[in-house]
Amino acid sequence: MVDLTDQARDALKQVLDPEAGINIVDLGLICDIREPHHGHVEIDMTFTTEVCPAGPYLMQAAEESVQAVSGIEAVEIILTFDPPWTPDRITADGRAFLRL
Amino acid sequence: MSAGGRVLGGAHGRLLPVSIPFSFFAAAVIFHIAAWACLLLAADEIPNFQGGLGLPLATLHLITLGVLTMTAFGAAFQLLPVATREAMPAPFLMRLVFILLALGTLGLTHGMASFQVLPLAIGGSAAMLAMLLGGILLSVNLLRNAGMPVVLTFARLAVICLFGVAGLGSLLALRYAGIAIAESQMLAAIHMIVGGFGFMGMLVFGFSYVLVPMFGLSNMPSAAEGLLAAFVSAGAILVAIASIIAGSGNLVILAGLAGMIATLLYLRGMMQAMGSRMKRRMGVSFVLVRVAWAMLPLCILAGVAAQFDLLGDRSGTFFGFLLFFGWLLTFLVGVLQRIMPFLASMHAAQAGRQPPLVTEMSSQGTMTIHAICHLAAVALIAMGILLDSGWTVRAGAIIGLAGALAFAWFSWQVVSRMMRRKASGSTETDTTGAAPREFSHG
Repeated sequence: MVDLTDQARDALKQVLDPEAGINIVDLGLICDIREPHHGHVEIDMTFTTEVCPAGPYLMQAAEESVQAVSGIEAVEIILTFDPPWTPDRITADGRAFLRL
Repeated sequence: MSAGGRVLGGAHGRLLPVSIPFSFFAAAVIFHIAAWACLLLAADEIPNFQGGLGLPLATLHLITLGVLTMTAFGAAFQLLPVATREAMPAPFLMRLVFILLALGTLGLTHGMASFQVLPLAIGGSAAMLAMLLGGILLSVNLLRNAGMPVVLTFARLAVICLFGVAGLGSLLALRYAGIAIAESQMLAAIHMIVGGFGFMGMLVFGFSYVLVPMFGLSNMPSAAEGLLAAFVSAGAILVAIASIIAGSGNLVILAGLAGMIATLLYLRGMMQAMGSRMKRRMGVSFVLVRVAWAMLPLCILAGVAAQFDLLGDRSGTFFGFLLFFGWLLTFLVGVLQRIMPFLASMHAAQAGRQPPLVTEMSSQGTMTIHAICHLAAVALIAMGILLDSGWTVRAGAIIGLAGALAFAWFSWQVVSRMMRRKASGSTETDTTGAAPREFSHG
């Protein structure tokens, strides 16, 4: 059986932060992905700062990206700032990209 | 509708129509050119400027009202609703602020430059109304207690100072109508401190606590130190006002010390953010920001030195120049080099497609030319003031004007790329030739 949360994570890697040029998964903006019911995906998401003007677009892009995955019927994006984002959330791939 | 959808809908409501922030920024770009052109025309008068009507005063207000206040409103209207999670009221009120401020700045500076009281009075009244209306709009938004306490504290202090600077400006303008309520030199000095360090300075501090970590991908600076910096800054301004009213040298020193403590707390926070940043290359815009940071303590020292005439007759002019051109304008153009392409990228986004990368919206070459010209101009004019050399000021103003034109060209590039991306819909390639990114999985 295909794990929809993995597919959702892969889909989210297509969403780039326009300022940093790095995808939102490697940037550490995706805190958690769950599938509480079959075909229903919940995503906990944060921004690097609460005042990020890109925030609304990143949420929209994340929702549209995951909704395009075959088998996913509903997507719920939950915005959280607790705990706040820190650079520690950036993945090794993300750090390597930013050092370039 | 999902909870995510509800959050998303609210967030979209807080991003203003593109025409609102960019109207303010476009006007600031035009007033920026006008200010450097006026400074060029007034070059011989600048070193020994002691206040009063004329081109130097018009130049100063083209910068303070036309560039700094105009940009401050554009940025605050855009960013504060995101911080407070509360949408701004009807867009027409923000457009009214823009129209009043643009026309008011034109009238006021025309009256100042041409020694005509009528346009000065009409323009000054319009500018004051713009500041009051803008201040009320921001105050209503700031009533909401949300996250980011440091940013909101600085913003609230800035709005209080905004009302103060508008009121003091009105008292100064009344003097030209023959109504003198207080000694004009004293009022002008307080007007300058409340406007420069109070309204603009508090906004610079507050925005820094958001923008520097955001652009550097770094840790947020300590909130406790940020709040302390806010309260010490407010205390420093109050003591500085008291020193002007009382004519007390001791209070000047106390205000300078408090200002330096606030500056050190602020700069320490900025260094924490820069030190923990993940993004190594911050670009030419952050060269300007770093220079502005260096200018701030120099500016406070110059202010204290001016009160004791330690730098000669021109020390007051030197202080004012460092405050408005050296610190505030340098910081502002540095931030604008980053925030304009960023906002353009957001507004160029199409439904179902990603916003273009910020790097696709800006031009590194034009930004570099502008930065070099700006820094060279500031250095030359500061030197010209100290040496009482009109020719050095003139050379600096020519270079500054060239920089302002480069900045206007940069701004035009950003806007035209944004409009092209919006117009191209979802099928065209962008200016770099790269295919637009879209979501499709199977």
